[in-house]
Amino acid sequence: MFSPEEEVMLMQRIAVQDRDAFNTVVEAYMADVFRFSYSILKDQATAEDVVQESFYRLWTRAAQWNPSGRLRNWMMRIAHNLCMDNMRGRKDMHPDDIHDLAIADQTPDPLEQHAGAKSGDIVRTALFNLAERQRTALSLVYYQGCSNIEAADIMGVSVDALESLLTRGRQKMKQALTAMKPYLLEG
Amino acid sequence: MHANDDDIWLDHMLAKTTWPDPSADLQDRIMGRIGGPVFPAAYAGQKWQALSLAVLVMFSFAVGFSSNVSGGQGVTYADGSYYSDTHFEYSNLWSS
Repeated sequence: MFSPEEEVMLMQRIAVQDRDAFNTVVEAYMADVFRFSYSILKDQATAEDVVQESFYRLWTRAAQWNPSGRLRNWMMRIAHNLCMDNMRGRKDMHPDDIHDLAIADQTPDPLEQHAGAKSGDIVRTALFNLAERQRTALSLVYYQGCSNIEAADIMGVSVDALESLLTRGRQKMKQALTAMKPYLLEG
Repeated sequence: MHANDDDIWLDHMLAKTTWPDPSADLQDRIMGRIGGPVFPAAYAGQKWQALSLAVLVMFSFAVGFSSNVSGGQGVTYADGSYYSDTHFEYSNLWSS
């Protein structure tokens, strides 16, 4: 993570096509942008495409960056918008907020289904079964370390709406994981 | 279990979530997209030193080659044979 002053210097250099400065930002944020995109899209190759495009936009639009915001959040917002564009073109995704967890509905015995899987993988699967906006909100707050205000800004929703998404997402995660609690406690 | 315990447990579970790493060549692809060479940022400050060293080495080879061609750095032995790092004349090899 860069200080605000370092971000301003890096972005000024990137705005004049300084590859070293750009590479520094890529090294610092590539993994975070990838994991965030992956948590939304659930597909490694597509998430990597989004990461590439996000950084390309950083390269071409560095002069448009507003120094009052943090660079990392700007990158996350670009990636989020690209993920939304991608999902609109995919028939297998439902970017609405009424999509319930599939684990509890489809699996009579979650313990049996996930036998052998690591607990971290099981939690990720439960997260993947949340509605997209709940998943995005949880990903930003729990995995990207964003504050509620930052996460709301990245998603383009009010803070109240974000908190509502977090509450519902957590409830559904609890429902999905409760059935597997004995196994998860072992793992 | 109280609701609060549930929350703590869920936080614990969320923290255990595992995520894959991006492909090893993703950074290369990103740099390739903007048309630039890949140079790890950790070494960015040393790039010009590395390039200068490469130019210096090439220059040294060129100077060395040039002086050998002109015969300026060789040794002529008493038997008339001539030796340098890159050149050896067997002038008296068959005469003895």
